[in-house]
Amino acid sequence: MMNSMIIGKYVPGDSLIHRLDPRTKLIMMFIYVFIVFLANNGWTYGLLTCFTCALFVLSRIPITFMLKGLKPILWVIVFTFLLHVLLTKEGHVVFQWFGIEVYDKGIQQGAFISLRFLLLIVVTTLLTLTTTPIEVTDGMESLLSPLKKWNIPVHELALMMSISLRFIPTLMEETEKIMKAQMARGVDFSSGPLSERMKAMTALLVPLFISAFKRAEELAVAMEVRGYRGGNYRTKWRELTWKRADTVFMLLLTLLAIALCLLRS
Amino acid sequence: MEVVVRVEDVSFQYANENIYALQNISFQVYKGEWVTIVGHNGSGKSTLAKLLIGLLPSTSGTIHVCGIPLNEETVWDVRKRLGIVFQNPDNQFVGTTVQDDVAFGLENQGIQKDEMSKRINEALKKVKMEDFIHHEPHRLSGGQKQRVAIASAIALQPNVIILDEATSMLDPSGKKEVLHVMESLRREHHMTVISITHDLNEVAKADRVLVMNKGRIVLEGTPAHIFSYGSKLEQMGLDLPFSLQLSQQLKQKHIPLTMDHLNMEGLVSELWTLYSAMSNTVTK
Repeated sequence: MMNSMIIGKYVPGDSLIHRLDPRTKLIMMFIYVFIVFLANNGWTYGLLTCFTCALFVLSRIPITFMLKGLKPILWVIVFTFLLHVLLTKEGHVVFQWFGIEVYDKGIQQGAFISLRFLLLIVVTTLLTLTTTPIEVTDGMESLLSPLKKWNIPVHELALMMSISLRFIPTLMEETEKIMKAQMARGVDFSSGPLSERMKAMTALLVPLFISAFKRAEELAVAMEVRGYRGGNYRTKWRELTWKRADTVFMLLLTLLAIALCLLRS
Repeated sequence: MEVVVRVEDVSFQYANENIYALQNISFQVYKGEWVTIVGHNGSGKSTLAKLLIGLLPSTSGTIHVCGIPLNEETVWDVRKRLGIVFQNPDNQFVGTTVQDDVAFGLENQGIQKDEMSKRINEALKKVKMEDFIHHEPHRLSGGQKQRVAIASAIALQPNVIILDEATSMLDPSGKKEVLHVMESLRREHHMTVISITHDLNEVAKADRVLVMNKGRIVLEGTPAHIFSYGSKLEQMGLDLPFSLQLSQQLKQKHIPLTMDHLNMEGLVSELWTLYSAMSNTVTK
């Protein structure tokens, strides 16, 4: 149950978007987050929406997965919309209701802002749905590798991240096991006042931490005997390869950015 | 015969403890041999494993691996010649998938990608895990994880494989899987194996057995020779294999068994031949 929460976000597939280099996806997402703010009229928002929808269709992710990802922030979108509708006092009054005046500019502004929000969430969700966490890690390591010049331990950070990813299910399993063991001894995790429940958590956290440290030590030994001595002379099994599709997508994004600049009012 | 591991007069004392964890240990392991080191908890056998892979420095004495003396400068060289599989299947799985885990050691040695992919496939085939190459560790059983650990070790083409209680956390079927894989490796690829265990059931497979107690090697010999000490082993806190216990107790009940039985098959076959011989005499 808990496993699916974190690991289950990735939807396995072999679509064009899945096969893109994680670096492309990371850079595209980064740029997209900025160019979304260029849009300020119907044309530009329309163009952005088309582009985003095209990406989504190409990813061949079932729509239900996307909706599941959107559910938690749906009320935030609705809230921003209402806030803009109620607080903007520009343009013509569209209707009045119990002394609340709603202006047409307000509706437009509200729609644009919540659409911008929605587009941002869809694109970032698309990244996590089509890229495994380990690919994201590899992509980050490769993109940040110039920082090595300034003695930033990029390789070590990436390795730390991939080991944490690998141990999430193991520690989840362990948490469940300890919880059951403590429940069998009469610890109540789910009812009672908050302070009581916090106290019950120590019965879970202390054994969990002890075992995590023990695991870390054993893992360090296992890594050392398999010859791990830091990143300097290592080769990489997972090599990232920049393909033509990657170049094409980067070009498309550049075109989109230019079009947005030209069309915005 | 070629000596792969030579341990000479090694002693070890943990800091803050006045008794020696290991005292004057000497032994040799020859190429292609399967040596089992058996001992009760606290007999010093795990300390010995740590010394062999250079995780602890010996207080006195020397260790040679393939002729290289083990010291601070040569420790990485020595580790290239040793592969070790530890007790806990989870805590030695470094990669996020099976192939990544086998690749980890190869990456550390700076091996090129083509060669890596060849060695990963070969190693996984040897432990019969080639169908699981993309699996994450949480989708594998304990026995499967240990087989991947063995693959990770043999992908580095070591001269010796050390099994440090590698089966002690596994269920009976996992134990069987791992031992089966090790046996086939030794049969088909003439792997030199040092197996460290407290389980006398694993001893029967060895060419030679060293029994440790209180930091010393107290007995050495073939499995049959070791088991002939029976009650002495039990005094050292070791459990005799069930077949051996049963055959000894049957002998106490004056059932004329001729041998000490190290495995079930031998005992069963002697029992049924005996039984049919007895029923023949009764009917006559």
